[in-house]
Amino acid sequence: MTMHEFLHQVSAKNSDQPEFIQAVTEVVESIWAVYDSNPQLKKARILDRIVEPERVIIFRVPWMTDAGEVVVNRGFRVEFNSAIGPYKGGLRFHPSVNLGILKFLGFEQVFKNSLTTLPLGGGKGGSDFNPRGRSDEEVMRFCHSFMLELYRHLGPDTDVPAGDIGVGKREVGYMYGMYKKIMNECTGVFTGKGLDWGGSLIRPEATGYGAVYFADEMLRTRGQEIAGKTVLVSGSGNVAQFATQKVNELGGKVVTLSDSDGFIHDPDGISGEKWEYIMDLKNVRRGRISEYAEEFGVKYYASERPWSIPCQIALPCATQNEINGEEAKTLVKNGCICVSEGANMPTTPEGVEVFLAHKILYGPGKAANAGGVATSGLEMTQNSMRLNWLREEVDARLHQIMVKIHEQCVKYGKEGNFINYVKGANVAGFLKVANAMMDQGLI
Amino acid sequence: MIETNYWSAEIDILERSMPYRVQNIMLIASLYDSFVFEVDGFLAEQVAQDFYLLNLDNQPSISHASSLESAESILKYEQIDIVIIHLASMRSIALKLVGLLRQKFNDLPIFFLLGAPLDLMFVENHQEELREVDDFFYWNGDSKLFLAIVKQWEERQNIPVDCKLYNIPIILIVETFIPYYSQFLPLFYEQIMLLNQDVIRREHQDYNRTLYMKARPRVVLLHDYDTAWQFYQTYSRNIIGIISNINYFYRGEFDKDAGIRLLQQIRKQVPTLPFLLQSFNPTYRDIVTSNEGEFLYKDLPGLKMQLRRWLENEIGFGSFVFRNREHIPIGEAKTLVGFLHNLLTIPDESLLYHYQHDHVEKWLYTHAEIRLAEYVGAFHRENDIAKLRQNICEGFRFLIEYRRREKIQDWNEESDLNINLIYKIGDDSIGGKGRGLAFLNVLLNRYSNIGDKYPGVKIMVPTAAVLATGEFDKLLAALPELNGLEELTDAEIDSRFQDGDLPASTVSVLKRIIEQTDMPLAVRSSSVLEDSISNPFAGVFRTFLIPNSHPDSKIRLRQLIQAVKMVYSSMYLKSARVYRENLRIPSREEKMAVIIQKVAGSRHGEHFYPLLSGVAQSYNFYPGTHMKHEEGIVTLSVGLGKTAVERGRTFAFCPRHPHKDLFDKLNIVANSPRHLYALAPQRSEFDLSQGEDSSLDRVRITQKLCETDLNILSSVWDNDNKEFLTGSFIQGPRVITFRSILHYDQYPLAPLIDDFIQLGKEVMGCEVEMEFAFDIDPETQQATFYLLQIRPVSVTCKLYTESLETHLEHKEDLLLFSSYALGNDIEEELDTLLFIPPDRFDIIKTEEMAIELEEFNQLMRKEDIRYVLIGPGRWGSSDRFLGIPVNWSQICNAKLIVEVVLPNMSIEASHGSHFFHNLFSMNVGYLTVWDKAKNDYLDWTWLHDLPTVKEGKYFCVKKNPHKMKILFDGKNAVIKK
Repeated sequence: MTMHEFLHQVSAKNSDQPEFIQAVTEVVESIWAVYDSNPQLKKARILDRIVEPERVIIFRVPWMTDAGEVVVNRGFRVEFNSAIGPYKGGLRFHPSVNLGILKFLGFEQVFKNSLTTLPLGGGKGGSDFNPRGRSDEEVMRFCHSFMLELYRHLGPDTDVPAGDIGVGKREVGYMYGMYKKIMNECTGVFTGKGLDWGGSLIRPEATGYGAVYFADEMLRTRGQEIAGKTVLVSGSGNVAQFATQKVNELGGKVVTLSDSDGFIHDPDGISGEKWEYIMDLKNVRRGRISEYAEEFGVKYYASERPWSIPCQIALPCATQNEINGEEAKTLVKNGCICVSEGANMPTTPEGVEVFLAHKILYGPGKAANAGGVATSGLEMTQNSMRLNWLREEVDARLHQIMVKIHEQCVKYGKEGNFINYVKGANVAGFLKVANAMMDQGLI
Repeated sequence: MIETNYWSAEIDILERSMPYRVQNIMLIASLYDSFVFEVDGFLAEQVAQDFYLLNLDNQPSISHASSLESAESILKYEQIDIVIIHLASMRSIALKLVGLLRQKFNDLPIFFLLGAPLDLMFVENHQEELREVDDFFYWNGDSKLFLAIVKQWEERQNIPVDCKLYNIPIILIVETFIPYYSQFLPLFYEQIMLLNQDVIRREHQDYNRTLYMKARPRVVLLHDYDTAWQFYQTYSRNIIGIISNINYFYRGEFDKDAGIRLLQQIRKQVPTLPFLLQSFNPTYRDIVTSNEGEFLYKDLPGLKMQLRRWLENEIGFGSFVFRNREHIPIGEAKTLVGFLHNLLTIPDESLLYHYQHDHVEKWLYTHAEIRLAEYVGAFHRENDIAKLRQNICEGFRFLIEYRRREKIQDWNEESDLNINLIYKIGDDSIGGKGRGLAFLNVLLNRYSNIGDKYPGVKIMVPTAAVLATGEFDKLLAALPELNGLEELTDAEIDSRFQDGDLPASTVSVLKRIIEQTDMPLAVRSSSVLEDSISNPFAGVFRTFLIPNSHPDSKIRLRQLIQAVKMVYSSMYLKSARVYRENLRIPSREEKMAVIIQKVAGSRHGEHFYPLLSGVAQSYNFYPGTHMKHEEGIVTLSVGLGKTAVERGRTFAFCPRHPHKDLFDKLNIVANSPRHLYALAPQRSEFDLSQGEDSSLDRVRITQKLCETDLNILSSVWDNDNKEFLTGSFIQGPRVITFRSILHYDQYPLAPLIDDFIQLGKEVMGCEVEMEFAFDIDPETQQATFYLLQIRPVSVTCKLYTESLETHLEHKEDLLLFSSYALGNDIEEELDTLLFIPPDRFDIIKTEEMAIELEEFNQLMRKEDIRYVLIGPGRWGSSDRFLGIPVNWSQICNAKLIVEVVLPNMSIEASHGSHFFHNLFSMNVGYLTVWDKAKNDYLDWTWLHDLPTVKEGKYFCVKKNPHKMKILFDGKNAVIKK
């Protein structure tokens, strides 16, 4: 069967799920060469098995509004793959939620989790319930009703959900509370919990820190390190803020930060009091980045992205498609040797091509920003151990995980002297799951 | 705290009082005499007029009978309440008539109307046979006698019932001489009713006039000592005065000193009860006065004046004279406010004297203040004089605040700005805002028990004194150079006004205001055209807030005068002129009143402000998820209301759903207020010519302020979990969220607002907008809700009168019809359309579309073109599978956004919140055209055929040769081609 035939077959079977088809297409295209050259996997029809969720649960969630009206929502849990560990993946509460979208997200989650090197399977769930415009009491009633059905499918060694769009600490709290009451046990059945009741430290920092650790690892393959290098960071949210902090810690100098209106260039580096200012500006005052320029007298570039500034390292931490082909060329021309993606898919396919063609160190998001997922795994570990690690300890474990992810990418992405991290990440994620499935037989 | 119910019960009591009314009178007289009555005196008409002139609402009808038979026939078919027999013409059958009537209609009251001296003899000679007659009167040609007969009979029926309702005041008249009391009684009734109406005019609302007339003292006419004494014993609590003849029957015998005996007997019990003895014999004067009574010579020409004086001075219709132990006058009060002022200062002995002799109580009863009289009368066992004074004053204060707020009080020498009232200074109109203020008071008092529902919150309209338009006319008359200013610049107009002098009478009132308060004052325009439904004039004229804190009252007066003049001159400034010209209002129709009002709020640290101010609208043009248009919307700002009115960084919520955020948490943090407007009492010098803000401080909302004065309004932002933590013990960066009040109900702000806007809507009959402030005094912790303004909202009248659905009859003229529209009429007429045809839309490629759209928007921005954006799916959602995931900046030049729901799409109930906030604050329309909705429609073919301006891979820019009209009616919207 050719790749085309395979994809056609998947499309035919899931014709009402365009989102899922798109996700399968992207993954299959990236690993087909490996799959095609591995007859053992083909014979076991691993790919056919991997695109079919192990179990899909759809259930009724009835609840009552403050006004006493009954509302019925639909609840889902797609338990996609447990070959390497309990199903792990967020719950999303949003009106757009349907089976196709959850299968798409669950399918991607399988490989994301696999890449962390932790024993985590993949899954996703949620409901078409919209917490926006609902009171706390309504949200609580919904979460309780949702959990009254879902609890029987969960367990610290079976399925461990987390938050996603529309599910934050509040919702996780309500659901975990109900689970605990029904099951009469305090286990790590959720991640993303409050710090006082089983959550882990470093969670907000993890993605930013992880992207920097990954960049550091990539540099080490060329005998270099972050210390002393000029770094461009885009964005100014959580990921950008903590990436900046970690770069500063490792001796690098972050000279840019941005938001949707433009970017600031501070040649002296954004650290110390300036970094504190950014934290307050963006997290509390939620002001515009241009205010930084006014405060510290640096240059502000309206409606522009920071990639025109000369640097050695670029950390795109803002949003998708923020580095196009032209910008990638500019970066390379200006001496950039390392790009580590803190955001999801910040580089357009043309941009990726430029980086790969110039053989610079390019760490794709799925590997470089896996720190967030990894911390979920660490939260589960701490829950099982009945211990709360210190910040330093969680940070050290996160660092180790990023090193291991990097090792996996190197293992599967080495092309002579060059490491193709894109290929490495795709293959590593896939093969770990595939091999585990092979080992466990036809189940 | 005396509950509002206590006072409002007064209305109920009065409504239930005087239940018996004479509706029909039968006059039995010969045909000839009936004819004479009619022709000579136009009797029925006269009686009706007498009732009318005294504002009595029930006017009895009169039926005529001329024989026994005709009387019987009338009684058979009509409900007759009293029978009056004209004795002179019926003398021959009078006794028979009485006998028969009593036999057949035992309960029917019978009165004899005497008309000649012979009649008197007849009555004298047939006393025994005429025992069944209820009373005798002597016709002297004055139709008011009928009124007196009717009222007399009504009083007798009603007194036992009314006494159960409240302690009604009664004046007892003992008189035997029929011709005299037949003249005296009508005159006495007339005086009582006129005085009663005077009192009502001074203290009560016009619409309650008829009701409060029922609170007048009752008049009872008796004819001998024994019945009078018996009556006195039964109603001694109620009797406030006695007028008596001197010689009448005493224990069955005629006694020439019976009146003196009655006086002496009563004096034994009540030494101070007003007692007026009247006689034709002036020699009685000394005897009467020596028995502590008053003497009145029965000299009818001067009687009216004397009676009036007696009623005013003794019965209490006039001023209350406060006396000391030696009975020397030490103070006088005409109004309740004046009374309260005296009560606060008179010596203990004086208070005790008046209180123990029930003077206060009786004065109040006479003044129709029945509940206050009852309240005051309840402290007879109170031995602690200080407590007594405090209780009585509290009663006065509460009543004044409760009821008198409704009445616009004319400014007089007793007026006090420290008591919550609305005062009118000068004549004519108080202008639109003034009317609004007065209406708020009515709303607060008459139509609602909202105050009682929220006992922890004091609800009030800040005290205001309104310089009526008459004052402005006076100014113009005195300074003709202020007319015809149209040719001058704004600065020149201002300086003309500043150079002119306000009339001395106005200045003296302003001086009194300044002397009475050093609290901050708001000086607002109140033009006669302001706040009407058709011409809101919102923000056209000036408003100043002045700290009024300079130690020198002369400087404070100067500042107040400057503010008043600046408000006056704002009527002539260019912006106001242009506004009037646009509405085609001739400037002569415009007149300006000025409101001087205490600023709502209290001292917080170094500043004076209310904790929050807001605007509530009963109709929400942009309802959030799960909310309805009619559930309203409230925008809040911290401090003085400048920001809320101007839609700056404000916080919005639905009063029906205060627990639900309209916007997501990140948006709330991003838009949380960073500054507040406040008055700085320490800044006593300022120059108002520098603008309306020149007296205000813009205070930064710091972390420290959030932790102290604004603690109740702020929450800690937990950025890691994207959560607000509310409570004073929590550490962390604080932002203003109003959560303690709205989510955790620490104060019932939302239900209170909701109650008021619903009530406003009900009583105004259309959608309303209300300005308010809320404060918690840091010292007393007293929460106060200030109603500042209420006005009708114009657009919603259209909502009820003109449905856009009628446009569907000419569908060919419409580009689209939407039955789910957010927004209000768009003034601009647009001609540019930016849209994506449905066949080019692909849900997988929405991100690519967003990039292209951004480029188009940039072009429009450069060329400053506002456009209509049309495309499938939800705009402003970050979910790429719901629609094109644009953020606001990518489509910021769109003036109207149309979401087309394609057949395979589901409609999302909520709007992206950043996006939604921008729609809301920039007044951008958002229409949904849904193929499943009955009327929704979009003419794609016409759109396609328009000339193309630019075309991209997905999007198309088309230009309509004609400007398009966009109409909203609150729910639906249409775009006309």
